[in-house]
Amino acid sequence: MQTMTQDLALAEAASLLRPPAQVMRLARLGCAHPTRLSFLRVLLRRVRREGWTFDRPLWQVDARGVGRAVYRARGPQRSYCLVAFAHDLPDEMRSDRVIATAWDATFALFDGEPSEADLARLAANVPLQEAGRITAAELTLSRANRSVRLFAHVVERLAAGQQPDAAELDSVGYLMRTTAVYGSGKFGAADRDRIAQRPELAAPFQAEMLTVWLIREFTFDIVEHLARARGGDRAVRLDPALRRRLGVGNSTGLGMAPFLVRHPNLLNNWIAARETALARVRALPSATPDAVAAFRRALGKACDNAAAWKSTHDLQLRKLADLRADLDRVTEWLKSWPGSVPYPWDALWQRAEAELTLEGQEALVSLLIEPHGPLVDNLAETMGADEEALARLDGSMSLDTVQALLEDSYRWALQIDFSEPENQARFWYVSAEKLEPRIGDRLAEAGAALEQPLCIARMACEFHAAIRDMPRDMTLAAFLLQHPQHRFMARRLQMVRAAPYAEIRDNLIAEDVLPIDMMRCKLAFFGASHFDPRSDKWVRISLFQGEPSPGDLDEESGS
Amino acid sequence: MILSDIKTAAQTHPADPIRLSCNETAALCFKAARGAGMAWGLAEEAAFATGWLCAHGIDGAGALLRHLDAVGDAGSGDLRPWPQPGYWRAGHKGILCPIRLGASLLDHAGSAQDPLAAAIRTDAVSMPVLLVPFLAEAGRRRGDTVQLSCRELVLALDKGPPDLPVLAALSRIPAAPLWLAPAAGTRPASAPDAPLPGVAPGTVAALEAYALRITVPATEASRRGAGTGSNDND
Repeated sequence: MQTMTQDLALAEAASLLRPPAQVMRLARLGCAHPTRLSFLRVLLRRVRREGWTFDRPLWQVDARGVGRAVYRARGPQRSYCLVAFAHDLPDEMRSDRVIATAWDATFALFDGEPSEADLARLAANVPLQEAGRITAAELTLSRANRSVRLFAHVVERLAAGQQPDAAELDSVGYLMRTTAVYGSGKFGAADRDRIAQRPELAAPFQAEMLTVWLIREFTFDIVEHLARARGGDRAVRLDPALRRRLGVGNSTGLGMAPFLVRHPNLLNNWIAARETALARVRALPSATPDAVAAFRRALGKACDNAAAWKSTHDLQLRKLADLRADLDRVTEWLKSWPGSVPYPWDALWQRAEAELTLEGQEALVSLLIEPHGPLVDNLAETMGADEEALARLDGSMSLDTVQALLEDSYRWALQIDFSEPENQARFWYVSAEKLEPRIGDRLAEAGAALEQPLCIARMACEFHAAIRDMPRDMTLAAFLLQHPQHRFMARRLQMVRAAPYAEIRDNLIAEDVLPIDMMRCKLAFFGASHFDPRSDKWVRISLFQGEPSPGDLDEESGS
Repeated sequence: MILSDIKTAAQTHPADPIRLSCNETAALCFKAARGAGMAWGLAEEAAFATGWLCAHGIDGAGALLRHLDAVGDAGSGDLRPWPQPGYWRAGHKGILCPIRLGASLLDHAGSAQDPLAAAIRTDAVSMPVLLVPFLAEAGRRRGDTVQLSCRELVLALDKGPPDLPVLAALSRIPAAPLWLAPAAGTRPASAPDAPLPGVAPGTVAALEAYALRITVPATEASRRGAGTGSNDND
C-alpha cells in the first residue's frame, strides 16, 4: 500500500518537473543555491551514516609552520589519507592564479595508507603541483593559500591566550582558500573509471570534497600550531564554536565555466536530481509538523546566511539585496502557512514563482528540499555520469529526424540571429600563455579563428543550415562522412534526447553573457556558500562553513 | 589540466616514460587532434580511441602522434573513406585516417546499413591500432565479434578483453590495408585492468606542440580578465 502511494506520488511529481526552458537559463542557473543534494552534503551524510572515523597519524611541523602531516579517514571498506605539506611562503609569491608556482600548503589524497616511501615520493612532487607527477595511488592534488590578514589575526590572538574576533572570522569565513583541487586522473592521479564503482566515490566530486573537508582540519591545526610556537603555554586552542564558523575558501577563475558545457550528461543529472527533488516535495498533499518546523529552521539559517554574506561586487550586491528581500517575504508568508491549504509546499512554490525574484525562487528550491531528506536523498545516487557511454552516435538516423529534433530541442538557439554582432560578440579560447580558458571580445581581440566549441547555439544553427538542402532520407552517418565539422553538434543533439537538462539554453557568446553564472551553478552543486565575485570572471567561495568537523561527528555518535 | 607543465619528478630521469592517466591521454589527444586540423567531433573520437588504448595498456598517445606526423598537412577530406560494397577505399592520398574510418564504421554499426554485417577490406589505414577501439565498440553494439586482420595479425574484438600481445604488435604497424569481418560469439565484458603504458616525454611534447596550435596569444585585456593585477594577499 505504501509502495503504491509512493508510486502515485512519484508519478504526480513527474508532472511537476520544471521544464528545461525555464530551468536552463543562465540568469536562473546563476542564482543557484546549495541544497542537501550538493556534493559536500552527500559526503557528510555518508560518513555520518557509515560511522567513518578520523585521526591524524602524522604531524611533523616545525616552529615556522613547515613540515608534513597525514589525516586519515577510515570508512567501512577503505581508508583514504590526506597528505599535507606545509610551506613558508613569502607574501610576494602568494597568488591564487593557476600561474602560481608556490603555495602556503599543498595536498594529495592518497588511496589507502601511505608508506614512508609514498610520503617521500609525494614530498618530491606534491609541492610542485602541476610541475610534479602523482600516480594512480592518489585521487586528488590540491593547494591552498592563507587568508593573510585573518590567519595572522587568529595566530596572534590564540598565541596571546585569547579567542579571535568573531566578526573578523565572519568577514572572511576561512583561514585558507584552495586555488585548485584536481581529480579525475589529472597529473597522473587515478582515473575516475577505476574508482567510480566504489559506493563512497560514486556521487560526483566525493574525493575532492573529502580532500577539502580534511584540508579544513589542517587549517585549524596549523593555526593552533603556530600560535603555540609563538605563545608557548599561554596559547589557547580555537573555540569549537568559532571553528564551526570557518570553512575552506576557494578561489576560482574562468576555467570552471566551460566545465558545464563540456559535461552535458553530468549537468543534466545534477539538475534532474534537484528538479526531481523539488517536484517530489511539491507533490506532497500535506506538510507534517516536523517538516514545517525543519523548514522554518532552514529559512532562519538562510536569513542568517544572507545577512552574513558579503560581497563588494555590484552584480552580487544586487542579487544579495533581492535575496534578502525575498527571504523576508517568505518569512512573512509563513505567518499564515500552511493553514489548511492542500498541497501546501506547492502552494508556497506557486506563490514564489509569481512574486519572488530569481534569487528568491532558487533559494526556495533549496529550502523546500531541505526538510525532506528521506524523500529526496536517494537522488544523490543518480548524479554521476559516464560521458563516454552515452556519447555514441546513432548514424542511422535520417536527416529528416535530425532536423525535427533540432527544431524541437534547439528552438531556443535557432531563434538567435547570429548575423547581429552582439550575438557573437565574445569567443571562448585557451590562452597560449597559461593554457587556461578565457573569453575574448571577437572584434577587439585576435584569435577568434581558434574558438573553443562552447558556442553551442551557433553550432546548432550552422548544423541546421547545413542539413536544410540535403536529401531528407539521407542518414546522419552519410552526412557526417562528408561534413565532419558537424559531428560535435550531432552528438550533442542525440544526447539531449535522453538528457533534457543537458544544455544551457542561452547564447554563451552573446555580448552580455556572464561566465560567473556558470561558475555559481557549478559551485552551488559542490555546496559552496558565500559566492563572492571579484570580477565577472573570478570568484571566491567558502566550502563546509557551518558544517561539522570530523571530531564533531565522533562526539555526535558518542552522545 | 595543464599538460604542457608536465615535467618528470625530481627523482626520475628526464627520458623516463611518463605514466599518463587515461583521462590525461584523452584530454591531450583531443587538443592535439584538433590542433592538427581534425573537426572537434573527430577530435573527440581521437580522445575516445587513445583513452581506450591507454586503459588497455597501449600507448595510444604515441600512436596518434605517429598518425598525425605521418599524414602531415593532408586535409581531413583527403583521408576520408569512400565506402563501396565490401571495400572502403581511400582518396587520392591512398591512405585512410583511422579515426575517420573508425567513427564512420561505428556510426553505422548495428543499423540496417551496417558495413560490418559482411566482410570488408580497406585501403591502407594509418596506425591501424587506432581503429581497434571503434571495432571493439562496434562488436559490443552489434552483440557479436569483429575480426580485424592486418598482415599476419588477427584480433577478435568485442566487449571482452582484447588479446594484448597482438594489440601491442599491431601498434607497431605504421600503415597497412585491413580485412574486417563479423564473427559469431562474444565473450563476457571485462573492465580493463592493464597497467598504464609509459609515454615518451618526446611524445607528450610533440602532442602539446599540436595542441598549442589552437591556443591564442595573450593580450593585456585577456590577462586582466584572468585575474592579473588582483591582490591575493588579503
